[in-house]
This record gives sequence, C-alpha cells and structure tokens, in this order.
Amino acid sequence: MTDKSKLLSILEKVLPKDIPAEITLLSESRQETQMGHNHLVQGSRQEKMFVRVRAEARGRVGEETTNVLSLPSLRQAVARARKRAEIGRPGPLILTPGKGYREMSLAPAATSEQSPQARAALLAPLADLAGKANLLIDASLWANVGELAIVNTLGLAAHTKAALAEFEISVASATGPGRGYGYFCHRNAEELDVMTPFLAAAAKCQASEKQLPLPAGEYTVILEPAAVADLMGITAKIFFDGRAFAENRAPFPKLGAKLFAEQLTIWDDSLDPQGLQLPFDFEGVPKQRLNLVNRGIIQAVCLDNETAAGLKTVSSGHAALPGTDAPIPRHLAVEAGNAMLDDMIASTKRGILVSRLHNVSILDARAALITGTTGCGTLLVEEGKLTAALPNLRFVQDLTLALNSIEMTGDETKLFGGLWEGFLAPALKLNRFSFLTGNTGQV
Amino acid sequence: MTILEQLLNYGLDAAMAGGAEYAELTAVDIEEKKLHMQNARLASSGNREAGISVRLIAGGRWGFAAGPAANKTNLSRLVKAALEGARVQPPPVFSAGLSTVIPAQGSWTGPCVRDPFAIPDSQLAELLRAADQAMAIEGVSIRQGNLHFRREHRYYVNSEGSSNSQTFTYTGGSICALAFGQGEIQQRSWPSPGGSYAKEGYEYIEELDLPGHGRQIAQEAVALTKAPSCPQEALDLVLTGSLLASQVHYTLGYRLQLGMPGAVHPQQASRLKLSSSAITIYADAALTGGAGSFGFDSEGVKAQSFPLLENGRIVNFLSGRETAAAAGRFSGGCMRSGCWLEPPVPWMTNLVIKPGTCSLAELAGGIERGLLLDTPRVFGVSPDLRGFAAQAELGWLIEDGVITHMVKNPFYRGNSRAFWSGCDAAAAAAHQKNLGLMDKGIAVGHSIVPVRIRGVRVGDSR
Repeated sequence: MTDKSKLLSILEKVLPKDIPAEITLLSESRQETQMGHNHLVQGSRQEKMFVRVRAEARGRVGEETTNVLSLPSLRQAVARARKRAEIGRPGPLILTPGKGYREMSLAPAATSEQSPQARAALLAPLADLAGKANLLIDASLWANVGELAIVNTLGLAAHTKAALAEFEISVASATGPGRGYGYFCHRNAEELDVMTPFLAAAAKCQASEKQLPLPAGEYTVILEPAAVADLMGITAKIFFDGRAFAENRAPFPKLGAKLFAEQLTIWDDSLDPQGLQLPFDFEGVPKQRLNLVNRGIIQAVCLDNETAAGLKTVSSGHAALPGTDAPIPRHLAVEAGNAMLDDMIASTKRGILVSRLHNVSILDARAALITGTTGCGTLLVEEGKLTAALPNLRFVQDLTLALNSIEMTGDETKLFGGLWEGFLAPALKLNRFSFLTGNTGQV
Repeated sequence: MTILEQLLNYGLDAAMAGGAEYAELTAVDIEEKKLHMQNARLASSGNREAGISVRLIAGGRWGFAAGPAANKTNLSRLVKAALEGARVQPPPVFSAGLSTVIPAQGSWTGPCVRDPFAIPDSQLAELLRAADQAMAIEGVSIRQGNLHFRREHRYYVNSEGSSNSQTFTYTGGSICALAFGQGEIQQRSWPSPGGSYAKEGYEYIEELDLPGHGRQIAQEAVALTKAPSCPQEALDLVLTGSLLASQVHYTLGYRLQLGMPGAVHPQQASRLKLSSSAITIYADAALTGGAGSFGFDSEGVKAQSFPLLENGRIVNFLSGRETAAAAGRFSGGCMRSGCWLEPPVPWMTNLVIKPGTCSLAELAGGIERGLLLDTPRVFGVSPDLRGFAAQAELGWLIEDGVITHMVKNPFYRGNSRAFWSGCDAAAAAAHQKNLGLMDKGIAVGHSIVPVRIRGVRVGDSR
C-alpha cells in the first residue's frame, strides 16, 4: 500500500481541469493458504490494481480502466475516457461533492503482515484433529488487504484502507454422508478463530451417519446464519436494487408495502462496529444507515448517484464496486430475535436444517422466484431432533412467500464478509420452503 | 529478446536461484472494449491491464503469486511470495509431480479477419442501435445489446525450456428483450443471455447478426407473457442452441476436468457411461475460431485434439501436467485460467459433439409429445455436479412430430447421467453451430448439433 497523501496527489495530478471527471483507485492483495483433504496444498498471493476514470465531455460520459499506476498510464486512461465519452451514455456525470466522511482505522498490521507460515500453523491442528476423527477437511485462510481512493473535479479526495482475515472450512465424514461448513472473519488476523467453526462443522458431520431421500413438498426450514447470508445476497438483488426498482423489475411497485413477516427487519449500515465498516461508497458518498425493511414493510432501496438522479432524489451511498453494476446493500444486517438454534430445532416436528445455499439463481425477479440447492450439510429434523442427513436438495421458491413465513429468528448474528462488504445474519426458521424430490445426485 | 521476455527470464532465474524445483512465468498485456446499449442509451468502457504470474514448486509444494509487475523489483517480490507460499510447514506428505512433456517453443496468433479495435466506435454503436430499434415493439419494456472485444498478448517461459508467445482476440455479443407480464418478466436473448464468444475478429459479430434477430426475439418475449405454461409431464426434448451448449458444459464437461471437484475419478472411468451411445464428444483446442482455442495451454503444452467420450464412454480427460501425472497419463494440454491473477486449472477447451445423421425435422418428427428448447434462462448444477436444473427462456411444444405452439417457463432437472442416457439421436453436420461461453472468466467453445432426449420430466417453474 502507498502513502495516502502521495496517492491522492497522483490521482489529483491527472484529473482533468476542464471537464467533470472522477478517478477511483482500488488495490487489493489477497494471500491464501489452502488445505485439501487434510493436507496443505498451495500458498498463493494475488495483487490486484484497478483504476477507473469516468469523464464527461460534450454531454456524454465515457469510462476507462487500467491496472497500471503510473502517471503516463493514468494520463492515457483519462484521455481514452474522454474519447470514449464521444459515444458514451448521455450525461451528466453526477459527482459527489467533496464533503467529509468519517475516518476509520480498518487495516490492522497483524493482517497485512500475517505470514504463510502463521496461516499454516493455524491450519495444522485442524488437520490433526480431523484425521483422528476420520474427517476430511478442505479449508482456506486468507489475509486480504485493500486500499480505496476516489478523487473528482468537485474537490472530493476520499481514501481508506481495509484488511480482512478470513477462514472457511468444509468438513466431510470419510465414511458417511455427514457434511459441515464453517466460516469466520475479522479485520484483525490475531482475532481469527478457526477452532470454533471447525468444531461446529465437525459436530454436524458426526450427527448424521445415515442419509435419507426426501419427497418433494413444502417444509419448515431452519436456515443457519450462513444460509441466511446466502439468501440475503439474492434478496438484496431482487428487493433492494434501486436500478431494478426504477426499471420496474422489482416485485413491488412502490415502497411502503408490507411484503414480509412482522419479525423481519433489515437495514444496511457500514458504520456499525459489529460489522465490516466502510466510511464511503465507490463514488465517495459518505455512508449512513439505511432502513430497508421495518417489521416486514419495505422502506427503501439502494441508490447510487445516477439512479438517484433518475428518481429525483439523492444517493443513499450504495454505488457499486467498480466492475459490478447495480446499487445494492453491501452491509446488510438482519435484526436478531430471541431464539437459540437449539430451540428452533426442538420446536420443529418435521423440518430441514440447512447449513448453506448453493448456486442460488433468479428465475424471475418480478415474481421473486429463485432456485438453488442446499449444500455443506442438510439434516432432517423430526420431533425436535436431528435424525438423518439429507442429500443436497433443489428448491424453487417464491422469496416473498418464504420471508413472509418467519416463525423464529436467531438470537445472535454472525458476520460474513469480504474486504468491502459484510452481512450480519441470524438463523431463521421459515415455515414455507419448497423442495423438489431429493435423491442423491438428483438436484 | 523483448524487455518483457527479459523480465520473465529474470524472474525465472530468481525463482530457480531461490530454490524452486520447477517454475513457470506468464506475462499478459490486455486491451478491452465494451459497449452496452439499453433502451437506445449507449454506454462505453475500455480497459488496459498488464501483469505477471509466477507459479512454482518448491519443497514439493505449489506456490503462486501474481500482480501488475512492471519491473524487476516488483517481480522479485512476486517470486519471493510464491516461494514463501510453497514453503509452508509441515513438510509435504505428497510432493507435487508433473507429467513429462517435450519442451515446446513457438508463437501462435488466433484468427482475426476484421480487427474489432480498428472498427470505429460509431459503427459499433450503429450496430447496437439497429438491434435496439428492431426490438422496439409494443410490449417490450427493456431492450439490451452488448459487444465485448478483448485482445490478449501472452508470453510464457518455464524452467524446462518451454517458451511461447500468443495473441488472442476474443469477440462476443448478445441482445436481449424483456417483456413485463402480470407479476412476471419474460426474457428472450440471442444467441444467449450472457453472450456468445469466439476467438475471432469483428466477423463473428457480423455472423451473429444481432439486428437481424432483434425483431423475432422481441416478438417472442411479448408472446411469452400470454403463452400457456409448460405442461407438467414427462416429455421428449430436442435441445439446441445455447441451452445445449450449457447442458454439455455443466453436465458433461465439468465431469471430465481431471482432478477438479466433482469430476469423475480415472479409476471409475472404465465402469462409467456418462451418456447413451448416441453421444461422442471431442476436445479440440485447435478448433479454428473456437472460444477455447489456443496454441499452448497455461503450462506451455501444445494444443491438442482428442476424443473425450466415445459412444457415451469416457476415453480421456481434460487434464494438466499434475493431474495427468497422478493418473499415469500425459497432459491433455487443458490448463487454463480465467484471469492472469488466478492459478490455472484443468478446464474445457472446445467441446465438439460428433454429428449424427438426422435432420432437425427428423428429430422432432420422431416425437409424439415433446418440447424444443433453445436458450437457457437459468442453468444450475448441484454441489457434487451430479445433478442439474435448467429453465429455458421458451419452449416450443411438439405434438405428433410437429411444432404447435410456445409454452413459457419450461423447467427441467435431473441426474446428469440419467438425463444423457435418454439421448437417442444427434442431428447431422448441416445443423452444426459454434457457440462460446464465459465460465469463471474462461472462454469455452461448444460445437453443437441438436440432440433428442427421451422421457424428461418437465414443468412450469412456478
């Protein structure tokens, strides 16, 4: 990473003086130590640089990107963006004024300086334990470090650094159908807990020695926090994407409609210290909390500068990561309830415990219809107890209906994230979730 | 020797001096141009990037590092990171091993008759505008068109004496019409929702004829909002177009990527039929214009052409040097990476279905009650890759061998082997089409002929 003032001055130096323009720089370094089937298999490091120039010339906007951070390369990118504007989208390029944002310290040195040896040392005990318990683990440890800087011709000069240590593990029984999944992340690598997710995933593996097929039908599901985070990812695209709302692709015509169960309250807040903070969005708009769903009523959608202008309002601070497209919530939190996961299981006569959702796709955004499969551990619940493993199950589900059938909400949220985003998700018990026939290899 | 080649050799020397048993370095230089039009509103963007990746074995383990290295200092840092990544403790139980190859040197340039970067942007915009106007009919709410061009110069060296330089031109395009019905969105795309790609020049865009297909897909999107639902029953299917490409890609190709999660293990191969005898598939990395074509793979192994499935039986795999060595084979030259920042993996190149003898009319003619399906709206696979689910954008109902009317939301799923075991015919070479899709950033070519699958349970996804 570079010095903040030096970096901003390089970007400001190449910023055109005669036309509206914006330069966004995003650099990321990702170090990974990977374990496959209880053995360390590979260490890798990836360094990514991304500079986006947006410029308005003669009423049109052009965009150009490069990964070479040098004055000549940046000047060429500016010149190309200007030229590209000749056939670009109609302007204006709406820029964020250079007003203040909250400075945050988001990049502990312990993460950026974590060595491959330190990561290997964290993974080694898991391999020993897994071997003794006849389990096979695939796991990765990542140390991510990033830097984001935005300057524009309205005087904006925003800058932040971020770091994130992540651990992800999938555990499989070497002899049976049991599967489990675990995840943990923290800005500070020294705070990374790998043992708790491993033990929880291992326990789930061992709780399921036999596997049963499942007839098609509507079931009660208990979605563990990781599965809720997966579901919220697709919920964000369908319900909270401001561009989809503006283009009438959303499943509701106007805000204020009661769509979901009373128990559901969702907001986006990248200033929450419990989550993964970020002071401003990718257009430099200072972040603030946005209430999306309040007691089942949809309150807001996410906007960037351009979408907001189309709706004659102001950005909510949700400009997307360069290279992605729509303004959607990236720091989404689902309000916790008061149920423990054990209570959810104990209160279920017949249902399904789901660890994760896999490959979730939108069949029809307006109908909020999605499909995907369960993964990394799906268990049958009968008479309040986990009784058998199930194969991965294919679901086709009306998401509005599912989120309108919340019976219980978990009492604690877990954090799932990336360098520039983070979801806080509790477990949810839903009474309506439709699965197709579930036999091994038929999802 | 160019400056870049000198830099690669410097990095190679540094890796070997640092204790690597094997090392390979790849440098890329990329130029890209994208145009997107939605409802006559054009957006244009470009991209330039360059970088180097270092992949090595040290102490029996793989190490990998990649970054925008433009000088010796940055490259030395990458080499050091790759060596550190490989030398994690404790010592390896299994050392990484590579299959033997004869070192290859050379250069390769993909076909490009009309350089897309030499075509004026105004001409590209005009093409999208013509397609947009063709789709502008009552009932269509959103019209989209996309063009994507990418030129990549790639330089490679390894410690066994292989070296090559390659130049690829990727060209892709698509159009899409969205019509809003009562609480639903119906979509029609050409030739597929994500676009079809070829390693060719602008001539591929001309071949796709986006404006020429605009009116038809727009009309179909509107008609779908009023069409009856897909019947829920077991029907015979004729699969074609980009849906068939996806079906082959996700339910056959994925199973043959040796060593990848969900792939068939070589020891199972002799006992396992992945499909009926009607299906024979070749991997052909040298297919002219194929999206997955190249001169050398990411390990410097020359492009190859070989059968993968013969009459449904597995006869070979898509392999790289490490996975081939583990299976006692030679590399199939199939190591690929979607982005220079990612380590390469065994992946599909171009998959070619061997044509059969039927005409399309004969395929449909042999069906009492069935569906003709062409373009995927959603295609998903299960985590273990053994099952899949698909929804086509539209279906044409076939009754007594004749196409009668369109149905909406046709959804089907199943076990991949069971599905393909129902294939009883492939169409003749006259119906062959080349399509290319991007999966995880890797361009894969599919040369397809329509196929007929018997007895598939279908229904409306709702």
